[in-house]
Amino acid sequence: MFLAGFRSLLGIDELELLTANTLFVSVITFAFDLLIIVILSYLFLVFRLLFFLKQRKNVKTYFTALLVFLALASFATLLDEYSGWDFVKMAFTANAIILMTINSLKISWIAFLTKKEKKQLLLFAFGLIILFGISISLLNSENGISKILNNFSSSLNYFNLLLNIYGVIYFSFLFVITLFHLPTAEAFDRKATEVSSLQILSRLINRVLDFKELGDTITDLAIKVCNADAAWIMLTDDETNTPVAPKNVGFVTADKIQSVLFSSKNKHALNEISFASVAVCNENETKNEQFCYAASAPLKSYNNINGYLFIAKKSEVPFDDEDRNALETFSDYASLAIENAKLLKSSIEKERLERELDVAREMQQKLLPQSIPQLERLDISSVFVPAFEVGGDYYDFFNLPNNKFGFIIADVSGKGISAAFVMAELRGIVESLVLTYDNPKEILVKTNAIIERTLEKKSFITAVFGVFDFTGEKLYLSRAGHSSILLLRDDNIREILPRGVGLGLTYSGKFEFYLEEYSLQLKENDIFVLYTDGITEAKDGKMADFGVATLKNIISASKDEAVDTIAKKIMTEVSLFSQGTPQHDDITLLLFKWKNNLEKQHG
Amino acid sequence: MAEFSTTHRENGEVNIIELNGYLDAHTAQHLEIAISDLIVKNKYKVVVNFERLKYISSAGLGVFMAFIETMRSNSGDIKLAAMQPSVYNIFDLLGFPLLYEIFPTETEAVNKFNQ
Repeated sequence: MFLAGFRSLLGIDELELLTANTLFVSVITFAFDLLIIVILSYLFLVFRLLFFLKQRKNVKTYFTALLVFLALASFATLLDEYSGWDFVKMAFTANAIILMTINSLKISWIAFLTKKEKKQLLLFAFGLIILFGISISLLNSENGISKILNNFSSSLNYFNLLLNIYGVIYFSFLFVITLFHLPTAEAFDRKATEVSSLQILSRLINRVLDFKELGDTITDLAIKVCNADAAWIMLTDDETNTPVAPKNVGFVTADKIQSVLFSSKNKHALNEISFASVAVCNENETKNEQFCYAASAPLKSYNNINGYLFIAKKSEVPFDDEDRNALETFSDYASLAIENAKLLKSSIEKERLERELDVAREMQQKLLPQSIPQLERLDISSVFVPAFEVGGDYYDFFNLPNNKFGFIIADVSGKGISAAFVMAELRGIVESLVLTYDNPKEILVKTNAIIERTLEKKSFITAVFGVFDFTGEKLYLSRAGHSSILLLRDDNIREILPRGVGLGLTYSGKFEFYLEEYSLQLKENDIFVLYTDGITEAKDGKMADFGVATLKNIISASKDEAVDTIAKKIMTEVSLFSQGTPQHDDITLLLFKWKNNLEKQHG
Repeated sequence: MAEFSTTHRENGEVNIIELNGYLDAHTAQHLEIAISDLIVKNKYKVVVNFERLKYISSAGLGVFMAFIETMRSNSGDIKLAAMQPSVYNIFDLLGFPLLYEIFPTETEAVNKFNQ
């Protein structure tokens, strides 16, 4: 623009000066000469800048050579006075013009212009060619400017002429080459959009946490890259086939177009890019939803199809090969981005699950007794070791009226947060029931009836409820599907296994019908051991069970030990046995040692 | 790790599902699908052959509880057969024999349906 300004200014100056009074001219001659020098220097610098624009190879020599010949040709004007030496000037000039022509071809930068910019450049170049042309014709005719410059320095005048010639040559080439580039400008623009879109996408691949944002970016870019009017995504893991991030298309139309693309006639559509004319399927739609052509591309990763990318256009010109290639490249990138987002999501999900399990474990711990009741005639010991996945074990102690003491041990089927919730529910039910009842069978029957509302069909709870009666020196037990109760009396160990089905196995009268009321007269130093299957089903490296027999052996050998010592022994054996294998279920262990009422004995 | 598979065959009106391997929380879904398939086809008389089942967890037991009502309310049943002692112990402890029919052999279970 500056250049144009200066040139036009120069043109006007020249015209004015033509008609100017010679006296006036002589006054400003010197200033004018200086001005011309400044303008020429500037012009030369601009040419230099244009020449080096976007040049990759080292082309400095060409320009330096041009500069040298320009200078030589200009200085050769000094020989004008001597006739017969003309050829020197002519030779230098010819060389300079050849170099100008060569240098004018180095205009690769126009390739990087957009179509719009190229059009502007055409106009601009045309204008400059005319201005330079006018300037040359003015210099050639014997007019004022020529004279002024010649008076000052014939070299400067000639340099001016040569530079103007360079201008004409340069901009003529620019004009012609830009003109030839114009038809391909659009293709170039498209490639450029494609490349920049892929760049945006690949940057997004590693950043996007929000799936919706990713989808929006993909459909936005797909429209640009593939010359489409609408775009949307469908993910295969979404059974409703709802379009994700739809752009310029409604759900209904998207659905219709999808069904045309995936129609039975079009079997390969599921695995590769597929195109279809969809004008028929939506002719009833409102005007802005009338699409003529649509295409789908599978979003593949590792041979899995994560989903499909759809594009649709309103124009009656179908998608061409260019669009197809663009869609292909773009869908590859998009599927990579989607796969990445999915992986990220699943790792977040995993982390969330782990945190949930932490919460479940904490909840379970808090719902278990924080301290063991200290009783005069009953030594109690308990061990609880939660599994990583939370097993839903539960135990508790209850001080009951009428000199009675109750306990429960239970195991909720299943694992994780749901087992922990059932365990919490169970605790609530039992806690409120023991306020009214002290009969183990009654408590379990009522628990079964209440828990029906919470328990899933395929879940159940095994439990033993027991009540020590300090007055009658008796133990009352009911067992709902739980492991046996071990009793060590004198030197004999035995399994107590009253009949009964697990809580939740049946809600009919059968539960109550089968639940046995077991009772036992207690003897001095009776040791009772209750456990959950985390102990008996603890596995060794060969997947063998710890088993009840091993447990019984340990207990039999510990007749005179304190309950805490026995508990420790059992746990040591279990951990030795299952060394190296992860604990897959909660472990709960309850031990009771009975002491008779000494006063009563003495009395 | 633990592997599990099922096979299905028919003996007259009775559908026999054979279990093989370890039935736990991870493999239970496999059996669930096998039984749901029968329900879809309106087949409610099922005998499950446990002969080659090595281990069953509480989640595995849950599968039978989930379907027994549907079978019985459509005048069918799930009958269990040919359990190894270790597997039977787990069922026994829970009280399953009081609620489900468990037979020493598959033939006995099938015959019970045909009576």
